[in-house]
Amino acid sequence: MIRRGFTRFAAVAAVVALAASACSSTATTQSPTAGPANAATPAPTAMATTSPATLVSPVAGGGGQTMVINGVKHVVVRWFVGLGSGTNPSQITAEQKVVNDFNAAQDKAPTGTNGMPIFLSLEIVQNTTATDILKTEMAANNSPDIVGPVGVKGRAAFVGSWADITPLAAKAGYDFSKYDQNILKQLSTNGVLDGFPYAVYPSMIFFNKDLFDEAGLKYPPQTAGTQYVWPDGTKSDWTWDTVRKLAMKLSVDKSGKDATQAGFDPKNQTQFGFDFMWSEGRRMGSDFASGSFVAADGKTAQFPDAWKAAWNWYYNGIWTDHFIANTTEENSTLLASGNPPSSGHVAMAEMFQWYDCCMTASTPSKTIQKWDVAIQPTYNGAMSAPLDMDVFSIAKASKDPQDAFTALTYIAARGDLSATYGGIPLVGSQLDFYHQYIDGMLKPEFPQIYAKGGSIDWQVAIDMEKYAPAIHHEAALPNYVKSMDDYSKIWTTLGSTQGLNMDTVAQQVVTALQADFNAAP
Amino acid sequence: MAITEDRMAVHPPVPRSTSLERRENLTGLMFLSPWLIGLVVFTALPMIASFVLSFTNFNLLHPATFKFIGLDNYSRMWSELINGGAAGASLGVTVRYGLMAIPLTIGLALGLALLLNQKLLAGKPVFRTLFFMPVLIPLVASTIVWQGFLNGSTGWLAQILNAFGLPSPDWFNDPAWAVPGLVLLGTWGIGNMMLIFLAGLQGVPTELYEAAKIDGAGPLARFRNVTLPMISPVLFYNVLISIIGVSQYFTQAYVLDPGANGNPGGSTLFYNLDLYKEGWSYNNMGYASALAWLMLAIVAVAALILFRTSARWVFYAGGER
Repeated sequence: MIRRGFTRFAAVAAVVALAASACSSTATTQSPTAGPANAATPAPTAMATTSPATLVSPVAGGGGQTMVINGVKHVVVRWFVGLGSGTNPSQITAEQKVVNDFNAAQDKAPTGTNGMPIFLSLEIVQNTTATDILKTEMAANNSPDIVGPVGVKGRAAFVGSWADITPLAAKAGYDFSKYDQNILKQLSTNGVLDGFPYAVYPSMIFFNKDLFDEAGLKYPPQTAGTQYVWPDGTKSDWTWDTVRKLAMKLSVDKSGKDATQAGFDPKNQTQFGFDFMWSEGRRMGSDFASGSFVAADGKTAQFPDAWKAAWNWYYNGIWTDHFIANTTEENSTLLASGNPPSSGHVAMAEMFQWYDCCMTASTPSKTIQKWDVAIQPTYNGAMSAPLDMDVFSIAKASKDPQDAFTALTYIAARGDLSATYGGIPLVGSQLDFYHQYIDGMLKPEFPQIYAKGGSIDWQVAIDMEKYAPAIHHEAALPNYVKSMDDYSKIWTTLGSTQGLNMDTVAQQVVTALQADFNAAP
Repeated sequence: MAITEDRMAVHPPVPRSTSLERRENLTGLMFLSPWLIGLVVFTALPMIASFVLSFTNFNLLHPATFKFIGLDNYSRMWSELINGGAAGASLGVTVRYGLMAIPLTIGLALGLALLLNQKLLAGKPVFRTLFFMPVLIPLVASTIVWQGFLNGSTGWLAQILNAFGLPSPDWFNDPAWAVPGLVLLGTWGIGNMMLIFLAGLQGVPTELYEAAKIDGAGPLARFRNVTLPMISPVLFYNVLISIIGVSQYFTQAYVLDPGANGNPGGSTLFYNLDLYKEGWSYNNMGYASALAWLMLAIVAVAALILFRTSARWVFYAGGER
């Protein structure tokens, strides 16, 4: 009898335990509005106790709800991180610090709309699954309030889901005039500012000084308007054609011949003059000139002439002039399995400023000792430097956008946080944090660069900000994700297929895009 | 009276269960309930929901526009199937992969099991462990390793082939070779199937082989007339599981092309990649649900055909199926 009772008790206990563990995300999660009157301030739960996709779980449900902490009612604002930067351990630590500081400040001086303190709740998910998770949360009417940092492309996947920032800023008395108006324009959808400007990552040329020294070639220019000087003293404008000639001299085969010499063997190449890493068709086009695949009417597909020139330059660089690696070579161990600029076998790479994260002193095949950054080349006399952006958005579905805006202005003002993301802050006063962080990160790994007071010339990145194309390379297109998929399918063939006719390729892109535009919801 | 007695003989009255039995049943059900609840909540209800959603325009980003659209999703799917649209193309890729992968993996697994079942082979446990070990490696990790191994420029296979003066295919960058590359990758994880075959082989009575030998049967005849019929239930099981596996194929192709575009040139756009793309990238959850139900129907028909034909080629020694 006792045994039977025990068995039944065990069964009930097992069911309850399983159900409880399945239903509760973390032990510290509190039910909004029903928290115990004297509960301690709940802390976000970090990695160990959460699912693999979730790095930090929010402590409460959706925004706009209230919860009682230390006997005081707080309004909850949820901050979602994962669509872009912000998921590295050091960034998570910085984000948690910002959240804790904000919540502590709110306890002392509440700034919520109803005089209630705001409780900022942090949710961090893995970048690879962030889009899916956010979509699910939005579809389930469980939208976070603040989303970011996120790039233009990441935001575009949620087009129509972001709130208009202007009335929120007006009500809060927030001044946007301190920002570059071109940047604000790029954050607007159909004239509505639905993104909060934060940081930018201009593109520029990363170059390996050792490979230039080895070839006896001068370094690329670092200030706009400067010409490139060849070994014989002649000078050339810093154009994409000059880059082509220079890159060919820096492309070397097994026998030591460069790509300009007779008998050069492209099948046994050991060094490449140039790389266009994580290549993307619209970015490549925007390197030559600002443009778009959609005409001004917003529904006609087009292929700008400058973009055709850019695609041709890239394609010939791979298959005719052999200074850019094809897809197979890019993924080979020679080029660090898909990370060519850090492999030590690439002389120049056009990349966004955030690539500083990935320059590494040693790969299994070669060591980089010294590198620096140079300005973008020009096309038809004009420079165009596409930039990546870190943006914050407020979800249209937010139940409390005004308090979300208040919390967002606090987050955006924290220079120590923006430095960990690595972008150039749009607020000039945060530049000190940025320099401190970047140089602090690189110094131990590249002692030769920093010897005798040397440094990477980050002024190049700041200068390049001025040459951002008028139309962002990731700007919205009708039927955005499908359109992007379709032109990307064609773009990727450039790196893997020899003998393509680029006029045909351009026509294929226009045809595919027009079909997508026509099918736009 | 006689009729009543006859009836009682055919249908004896069911004895009422005692309170002890009822309590025991209840306890059993309680222990089962986590699984039952899980089955209902995480499998049955989502299946019903996806069936209902397949008749709607449910969009993840715009749930407010939700409405029933009848058979529109199925009509679009049909049109894509017959006009070579994404659904048709992705189904083609999946079928092509299945036609290559299923015979190859089953053949290899059976071959390895036969080798490991040989009396003369020394160190069987070592080989068994070695062949099974890849199963323990996460799919994502093994796919990345294979990506390097099959690199057309610096991959080991390319270097081996080049050393013999042979050209190497550019596996995952060439639309013609990408699916064969994935088939090759699939052979990496045949350890599980091999173990099942091995268990089947070890269950074949040795007397049958001895009798066949006495009757003059050579090794091939013994394999065809004794081994194959005796392990046919295991073979049947492995074929069925392989078909289901192909219908679920996703991870390897997604790791190779996280954009889920089926690069290179759409050659690896598997059915589930297209389904994922429709649901999660294009937000067409209604259409993605319809795609999922088509795959379920295809697998159900394939399984039905397999079961229907099994009477002709599957031999159950006990006489029971």
